[in-house]
Amino acid sequence: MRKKILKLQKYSPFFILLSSILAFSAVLKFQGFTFVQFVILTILSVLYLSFALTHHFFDKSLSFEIMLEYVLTVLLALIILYGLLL
Amino acid sequence: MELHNWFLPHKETHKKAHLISWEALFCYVLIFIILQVSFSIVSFIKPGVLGITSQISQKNLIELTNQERQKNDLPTLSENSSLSQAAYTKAKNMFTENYWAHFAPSGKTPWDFILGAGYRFTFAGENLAKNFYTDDEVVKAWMVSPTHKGNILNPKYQDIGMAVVEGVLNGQKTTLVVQMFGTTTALAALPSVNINGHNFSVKKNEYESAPQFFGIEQQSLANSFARPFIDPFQASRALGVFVIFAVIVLLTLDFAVLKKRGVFRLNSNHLAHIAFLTTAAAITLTLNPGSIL
Repeated sequence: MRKKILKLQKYSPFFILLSSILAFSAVLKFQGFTFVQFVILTILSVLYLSFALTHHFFDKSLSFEIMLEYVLTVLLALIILYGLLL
Repeated sequence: MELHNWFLPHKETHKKAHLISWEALFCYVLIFIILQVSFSIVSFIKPGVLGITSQISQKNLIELTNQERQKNDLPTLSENSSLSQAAYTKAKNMFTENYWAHFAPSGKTPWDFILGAGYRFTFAGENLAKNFYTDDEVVKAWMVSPTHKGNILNPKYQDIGMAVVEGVLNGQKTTLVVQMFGTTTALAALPSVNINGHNFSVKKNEYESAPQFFGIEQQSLANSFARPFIDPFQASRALGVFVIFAVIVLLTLDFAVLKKRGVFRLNSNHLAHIAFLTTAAAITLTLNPGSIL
């Protein structure tokens, strides 16, 4: 299991890029559907955090400061976007 | 504290620039929270100061709706003044009762407005939109939604009524678009109204005793509502894009400078941040404040 995750986490940047492109297209497609856009952005943020933190955890480089940087980056993007949607 | 330390990694310690440290990110988050709270307070204290100015024309919306029908080999709809009056009365009522829904909190139904305006339908429908900047955006959003599209492309309809009304909703200047469809041709045993893909049958007693909205002013094409002082959407978007791009540029500089210095620093992944923030910036730039119902 650990080996599988280690193998997968190498592709984290690819997953982040792919999910970002998908989220962008979905938000464009659902203009006017505030709730759907809200859900898409939340899913993207959760995926981003999961990929990033898993990557650092298996890379043995996960520290409190690194976690904080990811969480704050996600919060910043979400607050700006939720502010526009609400 | 030296100026370049705010923008570039520190020369001796190679620490991140102050403006992309976690403390700075925390400050940016706080600034945006304060901005949103301030907008809510201003909307509450001074209703109408904040809001959106739309460039939507009733005639263009009808034309665009008919174009969509023509693309699908359907007959065009004729503008009906009673249906337009019903749409206008409905929009005014949403401002008066401060709601954004098909059914009013006071219990008024869409067919109350249609029958109240004197349109004796056998089948009718309603689409709503608010805060779009242009006509195109409204019709595009309706056409993406299967239920709204179903109304626009319903072959049973013969008439259309449209109202674009400005007013203050939840403390902010808002542009409401109400689109009503109808036919007076006998179709079913009971008259019905299509709302969000659901058919609501109108009971005989409701149909016969529909309220008349004589008290409400007649529809006026002239839009005399004052422009809002600040568009909160544009203000948040401009500040948001500026902050995101600034962080992206500083992260790129940090990455490039560290590489040039040949220094390894244990930190979060710059490229991941840049990819995520670029997506956030792209979404911020393409979002519009409009919503449909």
